Formats: sequence, C-alpha cells, structure tokens
Amino acid sequence: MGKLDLVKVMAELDEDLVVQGVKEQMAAGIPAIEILAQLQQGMEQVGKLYEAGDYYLSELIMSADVFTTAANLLGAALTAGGEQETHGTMVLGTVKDDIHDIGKNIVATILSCNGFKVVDLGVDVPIATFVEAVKTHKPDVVGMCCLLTTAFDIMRDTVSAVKEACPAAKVLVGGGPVDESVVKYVNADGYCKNAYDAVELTRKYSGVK
Amino acid sequence: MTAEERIVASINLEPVDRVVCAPIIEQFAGQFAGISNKEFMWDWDKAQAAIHKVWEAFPVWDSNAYMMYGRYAPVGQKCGPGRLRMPGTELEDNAQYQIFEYETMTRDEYAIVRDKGFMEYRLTFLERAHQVSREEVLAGMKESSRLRDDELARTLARGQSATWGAIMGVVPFDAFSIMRSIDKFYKDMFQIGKDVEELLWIVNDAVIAGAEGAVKATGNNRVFVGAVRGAGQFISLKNFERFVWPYLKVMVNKLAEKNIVPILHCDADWTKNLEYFLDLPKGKFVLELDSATDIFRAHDILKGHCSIKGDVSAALFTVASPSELDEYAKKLMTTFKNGEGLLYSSGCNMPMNSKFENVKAFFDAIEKYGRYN
Repeated sequence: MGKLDLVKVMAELDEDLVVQGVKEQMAAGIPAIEILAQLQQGMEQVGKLYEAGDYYLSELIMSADVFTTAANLLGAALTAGGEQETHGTMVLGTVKDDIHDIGKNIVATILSCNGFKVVDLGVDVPIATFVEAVKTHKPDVVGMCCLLTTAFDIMRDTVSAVKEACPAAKVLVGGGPVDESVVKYVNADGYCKNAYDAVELTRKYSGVK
Repeated sequence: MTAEERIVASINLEPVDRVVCAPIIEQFAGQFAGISNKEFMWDWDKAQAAIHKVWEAFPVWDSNAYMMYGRYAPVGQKCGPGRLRMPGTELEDNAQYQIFEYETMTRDEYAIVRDKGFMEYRLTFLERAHQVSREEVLAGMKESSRLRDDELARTLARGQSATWGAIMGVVPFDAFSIMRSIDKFYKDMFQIGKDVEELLWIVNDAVIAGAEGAVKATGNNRVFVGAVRGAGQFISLKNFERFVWPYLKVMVNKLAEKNIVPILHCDADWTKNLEYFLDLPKGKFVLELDSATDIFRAHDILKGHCSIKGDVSAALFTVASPSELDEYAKKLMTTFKNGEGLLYSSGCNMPMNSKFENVKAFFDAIEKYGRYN
C-alpha cells in the first residue's frame, strides 16, 4: 500500500487525495485489481456511513463520482487483468413511456461502484427489451424505475413478462410516486426508496453477505 | 365564508367553516373532460374548459392551485422550468408531459451569475434548455403572464380562491441543481462550497424581488416556491444548514416583512428538517407536502405555527381503492383540528390517470370530515 490510506480517503470523498493515492500505487506497481479492491472497501464504508445516517444521497452520488474518476485511472490496467468478478447482476431500466433517468442513473452508478454488474437498458424501455435482457443476462435482480403514475400499468405488465421469462430474478421498483402499495399493484418483490435500498436489496437477492 | 376568506383564515391559523380544498388538478382535468392530453396541453381554451368541468362536478373544490400558465406547451417550451417533452409532438397524443433534465449549465458559468446576476443567466439557461432565441424566451414569458392573468380571472370568476397568485420557481439550491443537474450540483456543493454559498445569495435576492413583482402584478400576496433537493432525504443536516436553510429563512422573513406569504412546495421527504420551520415567522407561510414527508409528524411539530397543505398521495389516487383514500382523508381531517390550518390537497399534482371514483372520494371527504359549521 502507498503512503495514502486509499480506503479512508475514498470513504471521506476526497477526490484529490483518491486520485493521488491511485497514481502513487500504480507507480509503485501495485496490481490494478488490488487498487480497485481498496476503492471498493472505501465504498463499503460509504455505505455503512449512509446506513448510520452520517451520509446522505448527496454523499452517495459524490462517492460514485469519485470512484468512477479513480477507476477510470486504472482503465486499461484493470481490463488487462481479465474480467472483474462481480457480486451479481442487475438488469435496470426506466419502463416504457417514461423518459426520466436521474434516479435510474444514480442507482446504476452506485450499484456498479459496489461491485455489481449493471445492464442498463436506458429509458422508455419496451417490455420485449426487458424480456430479451433477462434471458440473455440471467440477472439476480431486475430494477425498474418510473416517475410517472401513468407508467404503473406498463410497469405491472413488464414485471409480469420478466417474471415469466426469468422466474429466478427478483424485481425491485422505485421512483418518485412509487410506494409499498405500488409494489403490490405491480407485483414486484421489493421497493427501493433510494439508491442505497437498491444496493441492500440487490445484495440480499444476490446472496452477498 | 368566501373561498378567499377561508384560505386567509387557514393560513392565519384561525377557525374556518370548513377545510380548504386545494388540489393541484392540472392534467387530470383533460382526462376528466374526455379530451386527449395533447389537446389539453396545446389548446388553452380547451384546457381551461376542462378545469372548469372539474369544478362544476366538484364545487367543493374552492381553491385553485393553478400552474397551467407555466406548463401550457406553446409557452412551456419557450420558458418552462426545463426542457419539456409534450404529448402530440415528442410524445404520444395522450401521454403525460415530461421534463428532461441534463447538465444545461457548466461549472464555469457560475461566473456569469456572479458578474451579470441570476436573471440574466436564467435567460441563457432557458435559451439553451428550450433551444430557442432570447426573443422567443421573452415572448414566452410575456405570453405566460397574460395566461396567468387569464387563469387567475377564471378562478376568481367561479368563486374559488387562487391558492397562489404566481409560481416563483424554486429555492436557490434547487435552481442551481436543476440547471447544473442533480449530481453535478451535489459535487459543486462538496468541492466549491464557498463559491456556491455566495452564489446562492444572488439567486435568493432574485427570487425575493420576483415575488414582489408577481404580487404587484396579480394582486394576490401568496406565491409558490418549490423545494426538493435540499430535503433531509438527500442532504445532511450539516449541508442543509449551510446551503438551504439560511437562504430559506431570509427569504421567508423578507417576504413576511412585505406581507407576502410563500407556499413552500416541499416535495420529497423533509421529515428530518421539520423542526427548522419553527424558526420561520408564525402564520406567515404554508408548508406544502407531497406525501413523502410524514404529514402527521409535521402536524405534531408545527401545529399552531403554520398552515400545512397536503397530502393525498399519487398511489391513493391511482392504485388504491376509494375506501382507502377515504380512510386517509378522514385521518388527515380529524388529525388537524379547526384553526390548525390544513389546506386539504393532493400530494403534489393529482395524477393524470387518477381513478374517477377515487377523485370523487377525495372531494366527498370534505363534506364528510372537513365541515365545522
């Protein structure tokens, strides 16, 4: 390990020091995968701080941004080490007729930073695209977002089609107007009020301790 | 009591003859009237006729929390709050309109706000967000003012109060967040916090000045001010105390000095922030909640201090049964006692796809649980 405690500065969201630490370790010949592991440990601490109520969504967003900057520095060195191991896979998208992407993007980034593979289908995603994606990627979890109440019906149809195509996958839903009653209405398995709920529930359904 | 007397008394925390009924009807009206949302968003007279039909069916609706004049497509796509995708053009004919947010403003452009003022930069933002010329933005604003006056006149003509005279946009924190996009602005907050603090004051002054102008123009001393992204759901209390609260407190106090009542339209979950509102002047503002904040906790903390508007949720209008909605309405109207200032409302907008029987249950609840005389 270099001079800087990368785990600590990552958890403290200090972008300058994280970048400095990554560069120092790369120069010292530490394998990219080991540097990445430290960044991920820092992200786990961010998650714990969030759980404790010390960090909020804004800190989660900031942490994801710092993590992405640092991981980009590792770039080619990371790819050369072969495909990274992930905790599990989520297929994610905003359902058809809804183009909102802020919440979905936050969930995608934070899940990725926490070691999950995210297959992001984008916004206004047709049912058939979700179905094809779950058949291809066999995810542990499918995440669906919407900000429009007019998308509840299409979300229900999408959940139904996804469950038929991939019965093993758990379906999580979230977005501004979604609450527990909407979860029931669309027959989903869980409700994410925020991005960290998505991390926790994806951990649970992927069997990650 | 007249509708105006009723809302004024409620805000002043005085007894009323019945609870004020002030949902944000918007796009539901078009569906209720049997027209497509394309017609509703693009044809002003049809939209206003549809809204009138809702009132004819439910005359207990006594306070119009109107906002069509800023959303109506020909105006909204020139000077609306962000890039709007509309039914009939970018979306299907009966789709709900949607706001597309992206990083419209760069970090470097804070310098323009500092040098030339917020309103000047706001025009640049609108040009860019809507991809129109400065002249088109200004023409849109002029037309929007004309439509506001029309919407206000129609509201008063049918005996309703106008819940607010004008929409003053959002608190400074949200203004920058919308222009920069949520993730970029949170990053600014962490990385260039001192600069952000200074810039937020510039926006605050502009919002206060705008509110004064709007009150003069409409003759109504109530203004809508939105707030979402500074809620305790999203940022820590430490950052709230640094980037949100000082501005909001100064804004409400300065408006109160001028006898202007801000309706603080607080979407998302503000439960962690509720006690701060005790520091605002008693009876001089309204806290509007969208159902994400625990309104009953808000009542516990703020009863006797401010009027609260809310908060029948979108889910209750769209996926629940009428009896479930009725039960919630009963809980609301029996929790808030007469003189505690409840403005009974949808939590944010009444969804466009609300079920008719649920909407009926919403309005019927006023006579069942909200009448005191």
